[in-house]
Amino acid sequence: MIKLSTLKINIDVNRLASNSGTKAIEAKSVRKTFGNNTAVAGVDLDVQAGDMVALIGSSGSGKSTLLRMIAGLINTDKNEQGSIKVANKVIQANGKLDKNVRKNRSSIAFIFQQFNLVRRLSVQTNVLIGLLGEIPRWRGSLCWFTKEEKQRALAALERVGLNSFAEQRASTLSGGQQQRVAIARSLLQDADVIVADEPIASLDPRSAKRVMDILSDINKQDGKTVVVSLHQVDYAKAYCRRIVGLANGEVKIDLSADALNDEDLVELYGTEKDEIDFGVSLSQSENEFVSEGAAVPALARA
Amino acid sequence: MLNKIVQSPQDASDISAQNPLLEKKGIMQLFLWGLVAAILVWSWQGAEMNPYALWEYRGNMAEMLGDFFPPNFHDWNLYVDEMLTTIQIAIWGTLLSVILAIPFGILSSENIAPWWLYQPIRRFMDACRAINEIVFAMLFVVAVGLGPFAGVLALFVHTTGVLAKLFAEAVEAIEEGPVEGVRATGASGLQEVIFGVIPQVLPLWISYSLYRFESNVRSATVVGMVGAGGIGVLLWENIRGFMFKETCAIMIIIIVSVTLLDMLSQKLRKQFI
Ligand SMILES: Nc1ncnc2c1ncn2[C@@H]1O[C@H](COP(=O)(O)OP(=O)(O)OP(=O)(O)O)[C@@H](O)[C@H]1O
Ligand SMILES: [Mg+2]
Repeated sequence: MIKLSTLKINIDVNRLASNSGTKAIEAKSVRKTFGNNTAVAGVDLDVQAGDMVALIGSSGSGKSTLLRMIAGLINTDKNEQGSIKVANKVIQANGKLDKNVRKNRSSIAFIFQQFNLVRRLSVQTNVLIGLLGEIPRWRGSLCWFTKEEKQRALAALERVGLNSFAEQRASTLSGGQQQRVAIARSLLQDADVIVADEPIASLDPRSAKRVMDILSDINKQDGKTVVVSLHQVDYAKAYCRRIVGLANGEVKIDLSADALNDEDLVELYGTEKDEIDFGVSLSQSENEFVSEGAAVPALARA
Repeated sequence: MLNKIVQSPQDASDISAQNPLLEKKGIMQLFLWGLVAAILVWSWQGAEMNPYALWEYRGNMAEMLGDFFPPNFHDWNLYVDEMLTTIQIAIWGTLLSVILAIPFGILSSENIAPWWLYQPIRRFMDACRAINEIVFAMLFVVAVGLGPFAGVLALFVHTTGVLAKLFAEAVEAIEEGPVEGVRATGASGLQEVIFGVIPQVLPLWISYSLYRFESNVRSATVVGMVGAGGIGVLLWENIRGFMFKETCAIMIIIIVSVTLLDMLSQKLRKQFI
């Protein structure tokens, strides 16, 4: 049994202060429509370097779409004012991916809900893929990694507690382990920004906590900026400093985690008609670990 | 249409009485069956089908069969030698085509290449595939002269067309997720293919290649008949010379080697799936 409420977050105030002012992500007037369905309806979002931000919102509110646009995996709608910069590199502007986007993607590590490892390759090779944006193209294409690079991969695996699995095929690992391999891959990528789209949605509570602990550790120890979309509000409150809530493709709330209260959540989720879904999904997935006094029970009643 | 009626025979018969639309479907079906029958009759005439001839000439056939036995293995080492050449033709014909089918297969996949690239490549591969090895063998015999190399080239061109299509189908069936995972690290397009696509399709590709090798060993025995080297040359000479006991020996050697290779290759293929 894991008690989330016992978790303590120590914010390194000095480091935060030194980073303040630098923006890790600058998204301006970002929109995306699929046919006549507006997924993201004009979002401005700045994220400070070194911050850890949760993106919450009910299903279909546009979280994945927004994150994928930030990572340059899909383009925004054409719009003169619309642009996305990550780590001071232009990812896209006016609906077009930047011509250097392939290279610039290496400053953003993306963690997927479905892990997206290459299942037939070894765990270590999957981690080494994180280096492709950094090392010379010809060397990467020949699968030629130096001894030092392989050592780095092992060290990254050690950090997520999987160094003994290095030689195994990725497909032989459990979901939680695969997600940790994906995190090790992002460690090797050494990106300034880590974007995680529901990294724990397909994991059991124990693995979920482990994954969130590692992400939080990377944020604190390495000073990486982390943006993570989450379905579970209590995780967002426990691990992140800032919480951004999306509804119908718009930013509805944007608060520090301490300031977030139940009314905000009811408003965020309640304006949608899926309020009931939200309650059900919480009580289903989270009844294994009860977080006393957190927003969950109150919300489930609401 | 057939499916629908098979799935719900009761509904169909119940409603068809009142429903003119369903009645129309029934008429349509009758028409289609009529069409199939007409095509069969038409091609029976064109192919000059004459089963009676089998009976009429049964004596001849029995006599000819008798001429085949006992097989004459006197020149067996020559036959085995030529059979090995045949296998060597198949090995190189297959290998060259695998090497070319990799880029052509990837570039004719809808999920990898833009339409202006995959459309022309696909048409080109269709052309390679449409023409039988024997025809290519005749052409290459004219171009590079009699001998096994003409056979290699013939198999190579035709098999490239076949494998590129099979390879592309495998590529089009991959999971998109891992490719996106590779893309997100800042990889190049080529690297996406190398790390994201090829590991996913490799087992199928190997299996298809081995399968085509089996079939190329069989084809290689025939290209010899138009002078493109291997055991086919001997086969054709002996048939033309009415030396059926030798022909029989050659055929037995072909059957034994093809069967052995099939078994070996099948074993190998199982390893990769
Ligand atoms: N590729 C696509 N084609 C068409 N519509 C899409 C596509 N991707 C997303 N959408 C639509 O955009 C809207 C926002 O989807 P998105 O996946 O961003 O939501 P989400 O907040 O991530 O939801 P979830 O919590 O279920 O993952 C939805 O209405 C969805 O149907
Ligand atoms: Mg999503």
